[in-house]
Amino acid sequence: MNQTMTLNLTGMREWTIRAGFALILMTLLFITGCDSTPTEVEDYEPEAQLTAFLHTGEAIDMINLHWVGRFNRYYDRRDLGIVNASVKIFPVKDADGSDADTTGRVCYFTDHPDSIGDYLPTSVYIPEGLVRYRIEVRKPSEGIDLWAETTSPDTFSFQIYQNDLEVDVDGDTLTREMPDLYIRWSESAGAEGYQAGILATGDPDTLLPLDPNYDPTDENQVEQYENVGYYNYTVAPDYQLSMTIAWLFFTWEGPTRIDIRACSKEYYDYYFSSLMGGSQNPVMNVHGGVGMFGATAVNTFEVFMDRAEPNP
Amino acid sequence: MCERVMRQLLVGVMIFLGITVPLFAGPQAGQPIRGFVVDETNGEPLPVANVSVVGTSRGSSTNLDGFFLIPAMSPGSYTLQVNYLGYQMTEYEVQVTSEVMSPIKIELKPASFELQEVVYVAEDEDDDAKRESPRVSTVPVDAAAIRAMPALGAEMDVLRAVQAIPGVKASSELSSAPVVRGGSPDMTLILMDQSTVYNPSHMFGIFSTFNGDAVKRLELMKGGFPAEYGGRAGSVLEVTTNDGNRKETEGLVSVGVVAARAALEGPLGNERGSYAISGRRTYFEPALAVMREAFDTDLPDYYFYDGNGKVNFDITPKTTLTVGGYIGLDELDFEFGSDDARALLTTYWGNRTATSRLRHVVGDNAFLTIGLNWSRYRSGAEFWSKNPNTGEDVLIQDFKNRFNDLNLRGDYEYLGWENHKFKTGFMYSSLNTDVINQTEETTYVSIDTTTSNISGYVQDQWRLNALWEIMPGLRTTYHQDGDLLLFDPRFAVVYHQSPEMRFKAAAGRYHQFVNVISAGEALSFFDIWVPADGSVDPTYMDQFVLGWEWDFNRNHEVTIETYYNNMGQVLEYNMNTDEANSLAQAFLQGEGRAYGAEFMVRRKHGRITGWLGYSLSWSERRFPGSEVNNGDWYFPKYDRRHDFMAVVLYDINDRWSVSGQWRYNTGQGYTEAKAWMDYTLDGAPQSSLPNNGISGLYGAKNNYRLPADHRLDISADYKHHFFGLPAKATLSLYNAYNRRAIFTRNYDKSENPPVANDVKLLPILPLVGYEVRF
Repeated sequence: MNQTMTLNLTGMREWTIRAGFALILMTLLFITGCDSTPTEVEDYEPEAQLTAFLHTGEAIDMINLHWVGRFNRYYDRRDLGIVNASVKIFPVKDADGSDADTTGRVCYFTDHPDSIGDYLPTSVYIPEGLVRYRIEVRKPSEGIDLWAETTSPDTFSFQIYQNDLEVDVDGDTLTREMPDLYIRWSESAGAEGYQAGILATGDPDTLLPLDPNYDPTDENQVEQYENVGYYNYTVAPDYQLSMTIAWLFFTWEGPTRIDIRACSKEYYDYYFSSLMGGSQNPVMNVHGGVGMFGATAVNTFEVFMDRAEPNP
Repeated sequence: MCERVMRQLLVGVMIFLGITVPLFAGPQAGQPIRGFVVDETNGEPLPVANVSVVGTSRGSSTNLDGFFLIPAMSPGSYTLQVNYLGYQMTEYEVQVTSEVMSPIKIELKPASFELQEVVYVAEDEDDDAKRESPRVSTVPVDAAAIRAMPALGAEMDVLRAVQAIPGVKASSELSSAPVVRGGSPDMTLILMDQSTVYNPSHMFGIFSTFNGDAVKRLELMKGGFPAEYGGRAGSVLEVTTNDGNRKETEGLVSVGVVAARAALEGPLGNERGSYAISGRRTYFEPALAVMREAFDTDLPDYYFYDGNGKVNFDITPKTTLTVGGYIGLDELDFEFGSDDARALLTTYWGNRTATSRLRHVVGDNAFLTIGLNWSRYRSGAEFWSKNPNTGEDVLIQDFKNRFNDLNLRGDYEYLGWENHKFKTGFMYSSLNTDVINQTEETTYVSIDTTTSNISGYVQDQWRLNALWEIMPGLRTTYHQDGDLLLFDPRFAVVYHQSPEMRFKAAAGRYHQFVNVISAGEALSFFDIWVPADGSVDPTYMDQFVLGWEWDFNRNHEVTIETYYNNMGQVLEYNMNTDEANSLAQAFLQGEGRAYGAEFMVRRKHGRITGWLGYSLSWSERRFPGSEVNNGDWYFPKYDRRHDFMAVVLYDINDRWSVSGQWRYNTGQGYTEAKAWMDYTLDGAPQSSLPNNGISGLYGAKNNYRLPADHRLDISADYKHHFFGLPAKATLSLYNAYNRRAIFTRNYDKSENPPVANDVKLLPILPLVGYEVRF
């Protein structure tokens, strides 16, 4: 009897030790396993966003400078504009790769009188192909010190084809019943890739879809088109020099601009990464803030897109 | 060139020595007892059955082919006791003489033929041999458990069952691809009868490619696996399919909400062999067609199917040939757009495998397996613009991808040394990738490349004494591209503190020679498998595992394991590249680490079986110099701090059984914007862009977590007879208390300020299935 009692007590002690060991281990696991990754929004950190594009052979028109918006708040760049900043663009490398002489080649900017955050050049300034430009933006009182560089691609030419025949459709009225447009372009020196864009240039508030069966009284259809932009675009790497612009990519009735843009490396990297990156920031080149200082060489033509009659 | 030949020779010499050294081993006193353990009802071999000699400390366990060998037994009469989960314990009398005995065949009777109480008193478990061996982190799951566990769509699912094991996660609730101990999904080697399966899921990850009817058993090695396995850095999931009934023909037909299944198996050649075939197919198409018509809307067409087949034949009592294969395909077609401008997207993805294995009892003490295996994964997507008026179709995008893995492997087990289980082998693989990505005008990617990979291994499971057992091993690999010769040392040890309690440790290096380029789990057709091409070093993982096991009574066991995995040359698809002609261009190279602890209490047999599991884990990655999180450490999306799971299977009586699974896990990481900014395109006014060009300025990668998630699935089976045939009706309740987990969080930027929209996963789903066996 005594022997049995001793055995049981030994067993109980072992159980207690094991249970205690397990309890301590589990407690340690839970303590060390607490999550440090937040589930609530981080504090807002103001950062300046710069947007500026150069077009080879075309006068610079405007750049924009504003703060990024607070998360979960109403966002309008016009409410966040930065005024009275010192802005200038100047060449740093000429087309032959030599250091650029900036004498008389600096473009200064001043605040747009009617649009907060927009800046206009103080004189006509036309970027040249294969020249590397730098933009500098300063406003020490608000801690703004931005700079970025980009190289303007060279100009290029293009042809339009339908059914393998070269056509000139600039200014024509087209419908989606016609053969697709096929565009071939020459290589642009210095281009990292190309952007093909289709912009409906009519009044955005009155645009009608090209779908012949579109019914403006059908709420589902109206909702379907509500959040569709009126600029459609695609990307081509530098070794792609042609593209079929299928009618599928034309959404809206009315005047439409089609452009092919040869993109600087900085802009192409931004553009391509923004298409692919998902919830990841695109590759931006603005030091001291965010945004894009890019350059393109552009070829454009315009057509009028007509809506086809619905099928009977 | 000379160096390359030397490297190949080195691998060859190692393999040669591994095979020949045992042949010259000194003579052993006595003769071996050897044979096969099979199921009495269908003749199928039973792997990992425990065979012990009554009255001695001698014993062994069967290999995957049901073969066992107990070396150097003195002449005399012995009683063998054989145990296997779900079968009656069997005793077998054997006479050892001075002559070498032929392999014996021991037939076990399933426990269900006896009173249920017999199951309760079965003394040992099928996995005891492995549990008591130095092998760590190994979890066998038998087909009965897979079939009993609740699953989406009342479709039993192999990989879902695996995800209920601590240390295994799904990258999301929708994905059946296992993520094991912080490794990425491609770090798990998935084998089906020795053929590698490259895409383990159907229907965008919702179902696994393995038809539960075809599966006999599976074994998950979460880490620290022995040298006989290689080619992947993280873990191994080995699936063994049914061999087929050697005694009589039987089959089943089943219908469920999602798919119909059928299986047939039976004997060949006077019980000298067997066959087993099975298949399943979804039938969404008619329902989708009706919905398209009724709601006048664009809906895709989708189906998947898969089929397994296997034939076994005993050429001699010592030689068996197995030939098998698998075929599976998913296809999705989606046509949309207006009457005058249509778009058509056609996609497909699937696996095919073919396997042939020759198993032979060599001499007195050895077992040889030679296998020739082929596995192919293929996928594709075509995106067409269709102009119904002109009949003009424009190919916007054409993507095709093939990955072929043809390998020859041999495994040689020498069991003639007492206290040793020596194994060596080789594998030669030819790996081919063929990828085309093009439009009508431009070919973006055109890769057709083949490389060779030769590997050899030696390992020994060596019982030093009653308390200590070790398992050293070495795997060496020569990879043609890059002319790489790599060595993976492995070591595992077990210390038996008592018969019920043991401590284990394992460490090793694990190299990986194929990687997947993936565009996310929802796009299975975009998975591209590529072999290491020499432009980057292969991914590797150094694994360290410590474990404690306690079998506190016959029915219950506790396992606690901790691990630390250090990863090098981790690859991540570079989303910012538009030209990728080598791995160095396609991937970012980085490093990773994963560590954690796992806890599991398991009840192994009886009317109520199941387990409780808990996993605490961290997984981190870093890609220095890249845009990914600015090169800093971050938690990948499948990093989860806590996972708790409870699985209960309850056989109420002969007719009714129920099962339930509850799981709690920390929310998945996701990247949240920290501010709003403009997305600008040259030539496009802000207002012309979708959502007025409002874009997020994103913070650190996966800087937030979705809320923690928990879900209960339950299932009930009712067994009865349908016109005299055994039948089973299944009622399954998915997400029983209707807690809808968040799959992803998006922001509707058409609203200002943008509004968070949570895409939620499935609500409560009552689903039924019906199965008839014959």
